[in-house]
Amino acid sequence: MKSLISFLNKGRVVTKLTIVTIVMATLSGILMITINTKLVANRLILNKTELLQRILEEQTRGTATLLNEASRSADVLSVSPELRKYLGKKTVLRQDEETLMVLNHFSLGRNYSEVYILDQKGKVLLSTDPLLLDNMFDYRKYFTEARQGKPYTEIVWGKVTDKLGFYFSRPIRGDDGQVLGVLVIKHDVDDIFRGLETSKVREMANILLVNNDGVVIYSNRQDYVLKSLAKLDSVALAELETSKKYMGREIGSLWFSEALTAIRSGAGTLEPIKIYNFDDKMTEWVSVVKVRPYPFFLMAEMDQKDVMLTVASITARFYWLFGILATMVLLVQIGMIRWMLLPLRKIRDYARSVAGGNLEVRPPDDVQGELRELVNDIRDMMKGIKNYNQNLEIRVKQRTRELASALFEIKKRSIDQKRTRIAMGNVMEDIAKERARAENLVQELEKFKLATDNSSEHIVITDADGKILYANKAAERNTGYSQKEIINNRPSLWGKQMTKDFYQKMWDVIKTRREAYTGELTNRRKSGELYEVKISIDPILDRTGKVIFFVGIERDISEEKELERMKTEFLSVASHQLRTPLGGMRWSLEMLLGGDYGKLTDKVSAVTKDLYVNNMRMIDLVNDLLDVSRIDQGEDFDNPEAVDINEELQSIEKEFASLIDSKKLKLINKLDKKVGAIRADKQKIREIFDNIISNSVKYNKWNGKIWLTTSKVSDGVRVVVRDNGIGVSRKDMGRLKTRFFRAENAIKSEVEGSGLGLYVANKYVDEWGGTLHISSEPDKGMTVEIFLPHKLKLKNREIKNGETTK
Amino acid sequence: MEKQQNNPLILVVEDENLYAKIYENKFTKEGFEVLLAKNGLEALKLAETPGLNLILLDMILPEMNGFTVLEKLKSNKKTKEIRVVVLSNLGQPSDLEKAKHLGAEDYWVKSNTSISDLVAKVKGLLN
Repeated sequence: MKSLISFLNKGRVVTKLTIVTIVMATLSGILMITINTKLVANRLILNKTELLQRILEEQTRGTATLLNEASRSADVLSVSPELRKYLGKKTVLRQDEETLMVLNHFSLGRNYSEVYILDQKGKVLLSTDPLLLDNMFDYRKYFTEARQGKPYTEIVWGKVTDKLGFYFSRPIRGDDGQVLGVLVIKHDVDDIFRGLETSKVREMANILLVNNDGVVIYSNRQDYVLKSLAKLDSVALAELETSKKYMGREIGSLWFSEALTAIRSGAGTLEPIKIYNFDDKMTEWVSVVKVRPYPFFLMAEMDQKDVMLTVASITARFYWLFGILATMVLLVQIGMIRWMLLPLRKIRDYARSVAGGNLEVRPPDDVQGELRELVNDIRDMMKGIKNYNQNLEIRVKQRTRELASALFEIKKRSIDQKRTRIAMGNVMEDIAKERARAENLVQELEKFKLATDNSSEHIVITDADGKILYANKAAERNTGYSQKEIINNRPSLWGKQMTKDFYQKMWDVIKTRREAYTGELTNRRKSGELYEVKISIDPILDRTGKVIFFVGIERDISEEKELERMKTEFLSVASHQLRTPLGGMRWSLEMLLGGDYGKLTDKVSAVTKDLYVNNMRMIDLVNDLLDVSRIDQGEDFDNPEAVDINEELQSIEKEFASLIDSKKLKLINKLDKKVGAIRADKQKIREIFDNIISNSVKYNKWNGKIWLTTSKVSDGVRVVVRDNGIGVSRKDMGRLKTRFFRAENAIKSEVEGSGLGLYVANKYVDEWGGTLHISSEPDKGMTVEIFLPHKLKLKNREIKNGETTK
Repeated sequence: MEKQQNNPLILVVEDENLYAKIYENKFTKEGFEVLLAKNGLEALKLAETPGLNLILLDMILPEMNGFTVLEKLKSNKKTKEIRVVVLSNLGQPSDLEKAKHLGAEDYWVKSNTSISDLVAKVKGLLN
C-alpha cells in the first residue's frame, strides 16, 4: 500500500493521470463485461432450453400421431364381428383363412409388420406372419394386460422377428364380455425412428426414445441405444428378465439418473436441467417429455458447447469494442492534458534557463491567469539573484581583504605564542604557590571555625542574598532551631516579628549602603517564645566592593530589657508616689505664703519661700523622671497640631524673661518669617526648646549673650541656640545626650540641673527624624543646632504593634 | 451653721489626709460647701446629695479605683449629670484619655497645679 501511495505522490502529472485513467477504465470495463457476459449467457441458455423443450414437445406430439393411427386401428379391429365370431367358435381354427384375410386386409398399406391373435393362453392362433404361429407369448406384458381386458401398448424386441417393434394389444371380447383372446398389432419402428432422426430437435441436441422402463430404444447416438438411462435396480432388472423384453440382451447404463427418476416415477416430464457428463467431461442439459398417451418418452440431451461458443463470441466482440473506445478516450485525454500543461512547460523551460545561469532570458509572455503570477515571481526572483550576485562579488572582495589581514595577524601570533608558553610556565609556578597558601589558609580557617563555633554569641553568616551558609552553636541555642534547619534557610526563620518597614530599613543599610547595622529587635524561638536581641550585621565586601557575605551577631538581651523595663516601671511608680507628698506640700506652702494661715513674719516668709522653691525643684525633678521613663517605655506619643515654632520660641523667651533679666543676659533672636507652622506635638516642642534655652541661660556668665535663630531650609526648619557661656569640655561632649549626665563644669557651677534636658530633647528630635547637633568650646560657649524636617515622623498612639525598639 | 443655698456644693473624693484637710480649709474659705468622701462607696452615696454642683475625684483610692467610681457615677441616672473633674497625681496621657473617655470634664495633676490655679479653675466651672 505504502509503495502505491508514494508512487501516486511522485511522477509526472501526465503519466499519473494516464495510468489512473487506464486502470480505472480497465477495471470498470472488465466488471461490466463480466456481468454482461453472465447475463447474456444465462439468457441464451434459457432461450435455448425453452426452445428445445418446445421442439421436444412438438416432436412427441408428432410421434404420437404416428402411433395413434395404429392404436385406433387396433381398437377398431379388436371389436370387429369377424374376429369375435372367430374366437367365439367352439373350436377355434388355427390360421383360419377367412379371418386371416380380414387381418391382411386390415394391414394393407400400413406399417404393420405383424397382426396376430392370441388365444386365452397366449398361443398365437392367427397371424399375418406364419412364422409366429404356435408361439407362446404368455410372458409378454402386452398379452397379460390385454388378457385382463386392458388395452396395452409397449415397445418390445420381437422374438421371431428379432427386431424392435411397437406392440398394440387389445382384448377381444365375446358376447358375454369375456375376453376370448388378444389382438396384437405390431407396428414397425422404422418410420417412427426416421421421424426422430429428422426431428428438429436434432439441430440442437441429441434425441433419445426411452421405454417406460428407462431403456433407450432409439437415439441418434448409437452408443446410447439399448442402455438404461441410469443403473437399474435389481427389481427392474428382474422384470426385464421375466418379460424377455429385450430378448435377453444385456442392457448397459448411462448417467441420466434424474431422467430415469422422472420416467420411472411416472411424472413423465423433466424440465431442462443441467447435469454434468462425466464421460465426456462437460456440462449438458437434458429434458424429458412423455409421448402421450403412450408409455414411452422422448429425451433431449443438449451440451453447452454451442451456447458457450455463442457467449464467447459475444464477449470477444465486447472486448474489442471496449478496447477501441478506451484507446480513443485515452488519446483524447492525453491530448487535453498536454494542451493544458503547455503553459507550465513554458514556465519550466523558462525557469530552467534561468537556473542554467542565463539571467538575460525573457519570460514567456503568452501565459495567462494564475500562472502569470508564477511567471512574474520567477522573473522577480531572477532580478533578485542578479542583485545578490553583484553584492556577492563585493562581499567576496571584502572578505579576501579581511582574510589577507587575518593571515598577517596569524603570523604575528605565532611569535607571541612562544612568549605565552614561557608566561604559562610562570603561572604554573604561581598556582603551586597559591595552592600551598590556600592549604595554609584552610588550617587557619579550621582554627577560626572552631572558635566561632564555640563562641557564646549567636553568629550567623549568610551570602549576599541573605541565605544562611553558617550558624554556630550559640545560634542554635538562641533560636531553638538546629543547624540543619538553619543552614540554607533565611534569618526570617526566627524573625518576622517586626514591621516590614523595619526589615526593609535594615536591608537598606547593609545591602544598598553596604554599611554595618546595629539595632535591637524581637525574634521568635522555635518554641514560639519571643525574645529581644541586640543585633549587629556586617557586610563583607570583596576587592571590588561587592557584598559577598553578611555576618550577623545577635545577643539575647531579653533579661537586660526586662531589667530596664522594671527600672522604668519602678521610676514611674515611685514618681507618682513622690508626687503625693510633694503636691501636698506645695499647696500647703502656697496657702501659707498666701496668708491663708495668717500673716507671716518676713523671716518666716523668706524661709517658707526657700522651702517652696526647693519643693518646686523636687516636683520638677519628679516630672522629668516621669518623662524620661515614659520616653524609655516608648509611651511618649505625639498629639499633632499645627505648631508655629517662632511663636513658641517667643513664648518661651517670655517665660525666661525675668531670669534673663536677673542675670543681666541679652537674648538676641533672628526668627525667619518664612518658617511657618509644622505639624508637631506642641508640648514636646516647648519642652525641647525650654530645655535648651534653659541650659543657655543657666550655664551662662554674667552679661552673657544668647543668640536664637530660626531659618527655613529646603527640607525643613533649622533652629540654632548659641551662647557664650561656660561651654563643655571635649571629654564630656560624648555623654551630653545621655540620661542624668551633668558635665563636670556644670556640676561645679552649682547650678541645678537634672541632666535630663538634652537627653529628652535629643530623643524627641531623633524620633521625629530630625537632628540635634552640639558643638562647644570650654569657656567660649555652646551651640545647639536642631534640624526638623517638614514632615515629622510623629508617633501616633495607634501604631504600637511590632515597633518595640528605636 | 446653716447651709446657704447659694453656696456651691462640691464633693471631694480623696483618701490622703493631707489633701483632704487642704481641700476643706481652702474651699470652705473660698465659700464652697465641701463634702468629703474617703473611698469609692462613700463617694457614690454622697454623690446623690441633692444640689451637688461638682465632684473632684482622685484616682488612687482604696478598694475601688477612681476609674471604676467614675464609670459608676456616669452610669447612675441620679449622678450622671454632675460634672466630674479628675484631680490626681497620676499624669500619664493614657490615664487622661481614659478618664475623659469615661466622662470626666477635665483632668488636673495635683502636684503641677498651684492652689490658686485650682481654686480659679473650680470657680470657673461653677460659674
